[in-house]
Amino acid sequence: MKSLGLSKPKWLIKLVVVAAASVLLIAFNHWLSLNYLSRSLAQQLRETLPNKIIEAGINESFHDSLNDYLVKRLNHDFAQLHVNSAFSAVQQCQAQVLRIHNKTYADSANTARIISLHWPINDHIQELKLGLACQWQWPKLIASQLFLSLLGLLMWTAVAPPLSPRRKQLLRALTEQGVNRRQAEQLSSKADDYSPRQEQALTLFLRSNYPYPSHYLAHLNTGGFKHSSPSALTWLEFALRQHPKDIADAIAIAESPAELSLCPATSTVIVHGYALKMSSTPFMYYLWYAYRRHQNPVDGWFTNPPSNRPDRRADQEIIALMQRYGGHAKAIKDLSEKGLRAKTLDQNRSKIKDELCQLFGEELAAPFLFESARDPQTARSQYRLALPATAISIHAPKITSTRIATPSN
Amino acid sequence: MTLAIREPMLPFRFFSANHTTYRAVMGFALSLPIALSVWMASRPLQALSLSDYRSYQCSTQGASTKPTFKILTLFYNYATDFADYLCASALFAKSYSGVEIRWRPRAYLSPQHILDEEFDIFWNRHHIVAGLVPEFSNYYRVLQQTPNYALYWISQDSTPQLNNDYLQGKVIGFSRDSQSQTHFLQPMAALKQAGINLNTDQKKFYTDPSALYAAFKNREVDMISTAISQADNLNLSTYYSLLINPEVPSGAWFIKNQLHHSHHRALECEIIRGLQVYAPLLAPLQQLSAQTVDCP
Repeated sequence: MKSLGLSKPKWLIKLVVVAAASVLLIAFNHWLSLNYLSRSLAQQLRETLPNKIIEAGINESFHDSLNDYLVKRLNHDFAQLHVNSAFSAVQQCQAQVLRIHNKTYADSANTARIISLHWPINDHIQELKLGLACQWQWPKLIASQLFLSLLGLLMWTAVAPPLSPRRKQLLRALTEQGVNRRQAEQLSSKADDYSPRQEQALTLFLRSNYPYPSHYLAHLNTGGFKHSSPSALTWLEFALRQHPKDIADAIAIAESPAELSLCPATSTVIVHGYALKMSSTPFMYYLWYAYRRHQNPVDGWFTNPPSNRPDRRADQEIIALMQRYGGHAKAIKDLSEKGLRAKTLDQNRSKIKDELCQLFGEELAAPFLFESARDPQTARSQYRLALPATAISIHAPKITSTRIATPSN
Repeated sequence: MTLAIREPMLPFRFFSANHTTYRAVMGFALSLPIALSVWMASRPLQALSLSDYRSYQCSTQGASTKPTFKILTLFYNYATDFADYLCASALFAKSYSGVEIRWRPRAYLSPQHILDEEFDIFWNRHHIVAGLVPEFSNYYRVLQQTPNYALYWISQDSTPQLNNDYLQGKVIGFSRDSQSQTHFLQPMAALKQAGINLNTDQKKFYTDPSALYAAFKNREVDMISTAISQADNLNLSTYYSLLINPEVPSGAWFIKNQLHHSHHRALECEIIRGLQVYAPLLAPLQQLSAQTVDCP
């Protein structure tokens, strides 16, 4: 089965609304019908009845027995009052004399409305009180008011508030994608409630001209980018530029944690979820700095050797890494002959930076590059990866775990 | 990537062009059901046809093709009892399908009614009938004379006197019906004879006797004219009276000549027996007049 329509609570709410509205309308119709009927009956009677009663009492000395007679005749005349319309839910009504000429004939217990008529005889006000009661065609009353409630609800739900410009834009994009109108409405329905970050993300998505807006809307509608960092959006912008055809990948990159992975087997770094194949030698230096940072979470600094005295211990670590992961023979040879020189380190850091910045741009690359400080003992520059150790991982083949000696300086 | 799609009830919705339109449509959606419900609730009542409360009809056991026996009288009291008596009569059932009795103001009876022999019997005063149609005996004759009665002034304060001193500041109640012997003609004549001219604010006129009696009882008027039997019915603690006329004729029942033939004798006797329902009203008056027809 494709879809069961509304989710249960929505159905329930509508059901309750219709039921409540019907009950209100039934009560309203019932109340109003009685009011109207009693008023129209009073109106009809006011014109004719007092005169007829006066005339019936002509030449009468005492009204007692005449009252009884009038009550009998009036009750007979009012025994069946019909409403002149197929649309009325009133089956029939009857009126009964409650009181005439100051004499009470019935109590008002079973009457829905009381009609009072007054007329003067020789400056004395005469009173006739009638009790009106009606029988109802309940199925008709209930069905008609239920129908009216449904009609109201149908109109209420059929017409939606005007669309925001954003939703109009989305609907257009979705329709162009070929999404049917109902789904387009649903997909765009949350657009007005997006957080500022989601708004920014949506703007980026729209700008990418990705032909299937439903994909990213579904992601946004389920809370994607709701509380993202500003950099995640910068990453999204980058990823959409890099992978305009693969929205899922772009979203994955944007939402990746700010982590750096190094895969020595392929000289590949994965920056914020995005893989970059690097040149071999700069990668080896990157890997070496990563190991240092990884294994010395608190410190991890490496001070450049003095220009006149290359480092003869650290070069062994790099040579070991290069040999294991297929570094260039020339680079290995250079290191073995000349030791690790400050100049080599500077050059390779610079290459690393160039390669990352070329792809990601300076802003995105910066957190994954180096931070520097001055070594207080030697007054020379020291460097380490700016990322915290926990954000760095190295995917080395398991069998050969390389241990890098903790630098002594 | 899964698409979380919630399908609405309708295939799609119409989006309003602007907020004004939307509010208008929502208002319409809300008010239309209410308006229709109001319209339903205000369907008019079928026009009511009130029956005539100045007449009463009953059916005999006789065939419905037979004529209706029509009676005209002056007031409701005992009218239905009279009609019911005749309807219950097996003798009547042989000639009539039903009985209709009407009570109307005195002025209702017209010459045309008499010429057309509209009523089988009617009750009125002799002089009025003769005044309408002097040759009325061609059409009707007296069936039964109703008794004469004595007419009095009554007052709740002191014995009425017909002089200016006594009547100073007193209000007298009359009937608005200028053909009423009891409440208009006789008292007016008595005042005239005594040479008394009342101011207009000393005379009050009432629609019917019951209003007049009520006004007397609650002292809206100080004096009225009435038969003693009626005064007794007012349940006053005490009242004072002054005779106006000891012998006021109350009138007679007139019957269509056509009925007066000998083979209708039994019917007439049945009618006279039926008129006995009026006895409680007439008995307190003076002696019953001799019947004009001999009945068993």
